[in-house]
Amino acid sequence: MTVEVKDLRKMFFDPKRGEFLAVDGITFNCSQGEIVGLLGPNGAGKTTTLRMIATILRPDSGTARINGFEITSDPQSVRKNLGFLSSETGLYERLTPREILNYFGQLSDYPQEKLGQRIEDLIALFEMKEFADTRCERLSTGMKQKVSIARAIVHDPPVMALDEPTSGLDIITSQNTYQFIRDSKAQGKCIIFSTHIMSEAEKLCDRIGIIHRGKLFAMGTLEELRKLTGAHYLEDIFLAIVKEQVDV
Amino acid sequence: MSSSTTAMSNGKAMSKTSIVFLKELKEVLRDYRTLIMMIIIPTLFYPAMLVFPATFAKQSIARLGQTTVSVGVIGDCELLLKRLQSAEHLKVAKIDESDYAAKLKSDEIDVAILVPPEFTAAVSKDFTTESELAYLKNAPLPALKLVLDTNREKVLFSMASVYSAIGEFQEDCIRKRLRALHVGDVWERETKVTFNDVSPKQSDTDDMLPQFAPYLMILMVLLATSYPAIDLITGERQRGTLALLLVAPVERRSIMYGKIMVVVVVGALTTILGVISIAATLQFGPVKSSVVDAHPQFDFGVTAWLLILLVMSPLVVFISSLSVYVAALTRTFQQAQGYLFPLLLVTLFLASAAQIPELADNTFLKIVPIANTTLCVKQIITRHQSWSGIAITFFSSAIAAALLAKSAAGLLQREDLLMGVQLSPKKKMETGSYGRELVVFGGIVFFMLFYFGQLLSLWNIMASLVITQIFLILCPALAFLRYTKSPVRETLSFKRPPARFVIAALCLGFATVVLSMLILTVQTKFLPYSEEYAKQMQLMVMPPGRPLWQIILVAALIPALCEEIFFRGVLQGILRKNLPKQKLIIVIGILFGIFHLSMFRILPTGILGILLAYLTLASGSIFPSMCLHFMHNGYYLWASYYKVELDSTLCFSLAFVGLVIAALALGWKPSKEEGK
Repeated sequence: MTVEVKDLRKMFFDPKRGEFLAVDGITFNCSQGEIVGLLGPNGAGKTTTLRMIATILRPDSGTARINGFEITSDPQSVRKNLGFLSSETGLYERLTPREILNYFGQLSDYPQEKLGQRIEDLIALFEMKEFADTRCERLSTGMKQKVSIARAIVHDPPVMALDEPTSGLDIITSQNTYQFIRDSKAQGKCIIFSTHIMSEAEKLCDRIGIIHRGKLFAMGTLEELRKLTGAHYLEDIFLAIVKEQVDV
Repeated sequence: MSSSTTAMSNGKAMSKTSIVFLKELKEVLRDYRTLIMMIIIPTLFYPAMLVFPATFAKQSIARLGQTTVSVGVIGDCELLLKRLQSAEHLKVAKIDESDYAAKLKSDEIDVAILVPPEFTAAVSKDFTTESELAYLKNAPLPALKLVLDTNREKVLFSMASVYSAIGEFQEDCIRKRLRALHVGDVWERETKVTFNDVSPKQSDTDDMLPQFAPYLMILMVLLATSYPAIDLITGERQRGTLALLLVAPVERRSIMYGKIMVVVVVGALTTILGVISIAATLQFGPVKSSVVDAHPQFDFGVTAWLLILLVMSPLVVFISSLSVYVAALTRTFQQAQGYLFPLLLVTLFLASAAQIPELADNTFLKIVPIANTTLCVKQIITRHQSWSGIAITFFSSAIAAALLAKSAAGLLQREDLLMGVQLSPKKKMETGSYGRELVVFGGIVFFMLFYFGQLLSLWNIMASLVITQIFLILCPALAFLRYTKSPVRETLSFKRPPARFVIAALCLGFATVVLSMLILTVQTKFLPYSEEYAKQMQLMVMPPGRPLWQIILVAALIPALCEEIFFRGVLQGILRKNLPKQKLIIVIGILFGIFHLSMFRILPTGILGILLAYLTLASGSIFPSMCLHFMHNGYYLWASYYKVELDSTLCFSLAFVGLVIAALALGWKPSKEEGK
């Protein structure tokens, strides 16, 4: 397995709510060429889970291995093997796309002699030639999204963690992202993808995990989830699972 | 093998730091706001701040001196009238006594001169007759009365013309009288005044420039570094680019060091440009005559400016790290700007400490960053610097800068700052994550001790000791304990100690007094202290006319309780969760030394602090350190009271015996404790 997540837990504190488990024992895995979706409403714990996998936050307990590297004991190796993209991540406005790619390529220890060619390839792949040397502050949302994606994979990582990557994007820009996810899958990458948009999960994911209040209630292919709940559409499946679990 | 791996990873971290540094520098240089703060403001604004007030004041005084003053003369003294009319810048007219007030009010005249008839009579005499000569011997010249509105600037500045005209008239009168007395023209003024300025003491000079220049420099660095710091840290967080860095395979410290380095570069460039432009303005600008030439007692030479740059350099790192530190605590630009104002206040507060004569002599000030540099810059300008002073300022600021930079670099490890993840009070206590609160708490207590403690001691030494201990040390410590909701007994180590630690503490009391004396003797060779300081210390520990038991109660028992609860109780109790043992003991010791607010006492009290911290940690109880603290202060006071020679053989022997018993007691481990 390229990604193995085991019993991850993270406690948060809120003066009103007191201590609560934002992530409560989440376990799943993802292999090469597979897209695993984490589906859940806002505040379900998707982002916290992905942030722990991406070594931004430390789990209180539990573990995850990315391409064989453990997230708490060897975070640097995890970061080398992981591409992270989220709707909240921005770009350096005063740098050009080429400079940004170069910066992250250097930071990620991508071989210096190959980095120039890699950047050229990415610029060609995402059709960024026209604006590759324009400062990001002058780019449109679509252009920026292309730069963000290219930035996430400049070091050619085998694993991708995508946290609601299309949130806030228009339909055309979202299509670029979908295409990129499909291409990555075709290249044999392992992709973990969080979303609260049912159609997105339905369209892209090989397996879908239903997350609610920090817990992963079900994980399986769409067919498996249909069988489990008897519902056809993902929205109904989601509601059935969540309702059943929460009521109990 | 492992050392080569470490070296490799260090080299990698360095190269990553330089990658971050170069990228951040590029970004900062592309930001016009930073460029304005870094280049335009120091090169144009700061010199202008010096030039404008000086030139403006000079010109307006000159202009006002040239202004014609309307003088109304009331009375019939033709001689005076003629003299006034022939003077420059005076427009003289005879007016009636009845309407001079109205004319003054309506600005028709600026000054009214009331000439009494006796004055006219006196000055018109020729002193040719005997009776006139007799009058001369008896009566003085009657007074003239000047009426004017001193609130009018023009009148004040132009009065010189009026005074000099009247003065000349008086001189004429005197000459006339002297001639009548046959003294002839051999006449001189009774009193001659000459000024001979023999480089006044720094506290005597009230000139604005030496006071103002250090402020300007420090403000310049703070303003120049705060914007890039906020942009590089808070801005990165707000724009959502910080997460990108956190998932890149870079040590978080490397990221922060790269950023701090950029802020330091901005601060250094600003300082260099600012100093060059201020120096050039003073040397070649229009203020040269009014500032540089008019104040030969001040040093504005190249060496002085180079020295200023030298003492400013560690401060630039310190202020840059401070800006980065503050920026790292904030999540939005608005919040960062909100933090900037208190930061500015604290900085100016520290800078102003050096301007207060009572505090400027305080030796502790020489190791407080910002305050020491302000003082040093001022001393360089007024030619009062000493090499030891410059060295102490430089190295103490450099150490403070390094510590602050290190601490700022660690802030990216904190999830609460990075992602707004809050920890519950219980968890904070478990993990010892009260760093920010401790810094604020320590800072407040420190400032209160520094200002109020010193002010109180000017009033009444005994009372100030009690008030300081209870209200500035014990109460804040307990309040902090309550704020953090820490378990009291556990944090304060209120536990029955093993007997051997109490024995050791009791035996070490006298030995530590002798040790402190030895350290002070050696230290004085390198760092001689003034008689004034020795006198103050003596007064502090030995207020005249008090019995020994009172002194021991106030200066030994109360500090042993209050200071131990503060240092070995609250500070150590909270910090022990996030510092390894050795580091903890050293940190507590150093803080204990610093809190005694004297450069001379840092080393001896610091070492005592380390010992006290060790006793608490090793015994798991605060009581042995309370014992030792009490014994130490008590013996010291007793020795001072009876003027005991501490460097006698008897004292050394007693200290040695105490030391041996203490070592035996500490070294002896009962079998059940061996596993510990």
